[in-house]
Amino acid sequence: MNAYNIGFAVGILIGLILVAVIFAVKKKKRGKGEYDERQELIRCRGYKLAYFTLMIGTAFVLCFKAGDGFKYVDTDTAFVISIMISIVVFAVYCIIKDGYFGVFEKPKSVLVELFIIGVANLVIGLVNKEKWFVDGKLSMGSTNIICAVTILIVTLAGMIKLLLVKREDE
Amino acid sequence: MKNLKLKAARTMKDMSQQDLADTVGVSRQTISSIEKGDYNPSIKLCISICKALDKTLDELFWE
Repeated sequence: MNAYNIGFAVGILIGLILVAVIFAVKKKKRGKGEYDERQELIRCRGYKLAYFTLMIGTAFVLCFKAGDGFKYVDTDTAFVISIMISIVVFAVYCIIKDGYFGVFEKPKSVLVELFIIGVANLVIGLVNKEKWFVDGKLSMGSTNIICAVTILIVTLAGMIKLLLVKREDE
Repeated sequence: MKNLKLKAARTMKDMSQQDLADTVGVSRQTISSIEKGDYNPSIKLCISICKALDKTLDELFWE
């Protein structure tokens, strides 16, 4: 294992710990029953859709890997893209069906949080612009920009949904 | 099929969808979906709604 791989693994580990801490704090704040029964059902369907999207994406990448590989994207980045696509599928499906925001959650504050995270990733991605391509292929250096695009798509979907709900209420 | 009985009972109690949702601990969209007939609630949720509106299961959910 070289220094790059160790750094990558430690980065993922720290990210997971941070996410776990944030979830634990949020859960403590709001108490139990974050999603109601209809939302749980919607989220189950969302997870199913995302699972199959990831399966298809992974199979697609593996098929290309078995051949000459992708022309413009390296294999690792292609896997990251397929993970991000499955995240978008889950989030957008849940947003459309009103299963993304919990019962006690304020959609606006969640969207602001997502927007800030998205913009932060975008800035980091743009700072590392020269690392996006290696040998003419989109490489792992573009992960931040891929994350930014994913998060901003979810944020946009949430904003559109909020506007539609507002219009419906009026 | 729309659940007009639920909507009528809620209106009679002068409750908004949000008020009823807060009382039974679900989202407003869930109450809206039940009224529109897009979602069949569990028996547990039906009972909670009946208690919140002072109605019986027959009155609200039996055709």
